[in-house]
Amino acid sequence: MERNLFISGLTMRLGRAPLTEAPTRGIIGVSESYIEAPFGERSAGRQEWPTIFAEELTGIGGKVQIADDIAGAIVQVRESIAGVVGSDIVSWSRTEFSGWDVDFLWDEIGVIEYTSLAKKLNDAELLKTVRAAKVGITGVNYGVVNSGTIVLYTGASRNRSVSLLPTLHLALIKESQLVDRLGGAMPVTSENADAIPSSIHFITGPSRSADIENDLSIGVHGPAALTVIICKGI
Amino acid sequence: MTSVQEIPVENTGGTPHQSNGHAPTKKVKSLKQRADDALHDDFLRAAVAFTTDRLRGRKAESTDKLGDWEEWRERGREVRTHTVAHLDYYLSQFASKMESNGGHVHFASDAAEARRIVLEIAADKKAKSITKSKSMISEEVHINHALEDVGIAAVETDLGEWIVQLAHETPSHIIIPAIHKNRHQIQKLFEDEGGEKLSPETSVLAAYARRRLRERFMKADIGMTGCNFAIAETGSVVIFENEGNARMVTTLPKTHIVMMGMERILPTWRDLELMANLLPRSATGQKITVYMSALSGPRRVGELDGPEEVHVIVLDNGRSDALGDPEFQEVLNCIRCGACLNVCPVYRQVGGHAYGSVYPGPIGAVLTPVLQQGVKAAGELSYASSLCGACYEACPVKIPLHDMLVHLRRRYVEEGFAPPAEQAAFKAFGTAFSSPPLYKAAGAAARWVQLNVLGKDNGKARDASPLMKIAGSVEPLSGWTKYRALPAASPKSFRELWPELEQSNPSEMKNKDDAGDGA
Repeated sequence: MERNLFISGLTMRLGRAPLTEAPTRGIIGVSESYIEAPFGERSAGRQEWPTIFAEELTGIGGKVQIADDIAGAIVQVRESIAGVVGSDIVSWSRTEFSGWDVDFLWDEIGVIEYTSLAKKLNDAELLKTVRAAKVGITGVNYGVVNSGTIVLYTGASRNRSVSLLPTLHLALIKESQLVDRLGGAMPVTSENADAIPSSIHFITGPSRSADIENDLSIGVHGPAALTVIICKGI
Repeated sequence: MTSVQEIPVENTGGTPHQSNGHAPTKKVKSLKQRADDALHDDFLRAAVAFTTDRLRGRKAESTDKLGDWEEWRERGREVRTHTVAHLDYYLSQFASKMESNGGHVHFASDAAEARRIVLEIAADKKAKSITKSKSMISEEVHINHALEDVGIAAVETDLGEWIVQLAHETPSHIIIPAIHKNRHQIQKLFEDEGGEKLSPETSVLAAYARRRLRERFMKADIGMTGCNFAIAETGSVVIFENEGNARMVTTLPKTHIVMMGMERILPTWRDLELMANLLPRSATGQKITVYMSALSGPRRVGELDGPEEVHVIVLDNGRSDALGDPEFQEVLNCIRCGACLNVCPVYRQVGGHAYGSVYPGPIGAVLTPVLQQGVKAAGELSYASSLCGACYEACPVKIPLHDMLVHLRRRYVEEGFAPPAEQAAFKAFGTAFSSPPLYKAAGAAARWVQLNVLGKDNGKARDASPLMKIAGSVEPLSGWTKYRALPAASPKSFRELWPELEQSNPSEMKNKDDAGDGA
């Protein structure tokens, strides 16, 4: 059906003239009181955010490591992928990890960047390789503290498959990327609505299902494990 | 616009055990027969009770923690009501934004048109295989059947939906489609599907599904999903899920088709934050689902994964008939959480298949006739409710479902669908109640029947009279007497008692009652 016909049918049903500008709104989104107290009765200073994030995500099957500095974070990154060969690990482009000092991933361990893999292989081979990968390493745009959610905006060097196909998803978060509630991780739209990323992924824990007799199973389609490393001070 | 013929009769009381997306070929069972089947299925009843209790308990736990849940519900109601009241504006805005993101937007007035659009896209892409993630709307338009007719395999990838598809059945719960299947049945279905021996452990069965479905994801030419919300201001389609299959379906195939009910719109991202707090809590008691993905058109230039083409099909299919209808417009506020199913005393006894419609439970009883414009069998669903109002209490956007069920019953009667006996009974009722002498005579007659035909109360159970034994074994009385005894009439009627009551002191009456209670 032609769009204008469809829309004008709705206008007719609503019994008024078509609107020429945005309707006036009363209530929008969440309440002021929630924005002021997104942790409920618990008051939480910023310094507690990494711990609260960890509690939330751990509670639903994720694993969270908190590092006090870059050096500590590097140790944890190494531990998280210990025993896995570089060719079994894919990552976003290394340019996406500025400030992390993790060049050893590609230079020493031989982690494969998705973008360089994509240039070498055809679609089918690429998928096969990424699907077989044991670990996918990404950064994030935000970490939502009160729900333990990581938020990934897709881009040319921030590929969606890396957080989806491998068995373990390893995500690196800077403390400065933490926001208290979901609203803080949503795209700022007022001035820049045309530049919305092709996809935004809000991820809270490993893949799960309770479709077989309500019995929880982890890793049904997406990653079976999610490890998040939060680095303080950056 | 929608015609009855274009919606397969499964909706209008078809057997529950139809293959996924298939129009029925068997003789349809009545609502009463379907309910009877469900009431005799002990596993089903136990599974439905267990699951709904669990979902309900978890919802209560998660909403308690959030603080003032009533305020959240009220905001949810206001946002949805505002959106639906300005649906023309927001839908238009969504379509323009989605197009400027590079997506294609199609408008379908009914299920047949939606199927035709999908088939055209599939033909254009020379598609052989389509993977789908859970979507009630694709059940509504019966797309799988249409695809199979032209030789395209449509594979459900949500674990529960896949189980239901392998069993050639339909989902019995909006959120947990295979609520009615046990692990041994699932094991058998998987063994038949792949020809390998499995064990009934959840981990083994889930691992099998992961392995098999990954093969399907890799091969699929088109991915098809529903849409939980569509954000007007940026032209984004938002999908909530826990398994990751919707991410697979929207990442791997070159073409992504989104099928959305036209009312799925939200004006802004700020409204999404509200709904992201309301929907998962109401559905499963989760703070948020494992995955919430916002998809705004195809992959951009330079991106190396994600679909190259995105088609959004906006479906009316009877929804616009609720628009502008003061009694039913609010049904379009529904966010499909399934909370009303979990609290409904009728759903909890019979499960989803007894309703015989795509959408079961209280929301299904209201939505089905709306989508089918008052078809008789669909209107009958409004009687599968005790009108207790638990659905309204549970609804995160406060849809007055119990009021709508009453409105539907009224329309059902007005359209002349009530059985002749019921029509006659209500006509007599109306006549008797408008005349005091007639009312008195009718009361006396009814009491005589109760005492002399139905049998006398012996203090514990009724001793049925011989006449009652016969009458109670046939319709319509057997519908009542099969499961319980009719209440006994007291020796004196209220009218006969009234002169005594009027003389007595109210405080004495109270004492008398107390003594009675204690005896």
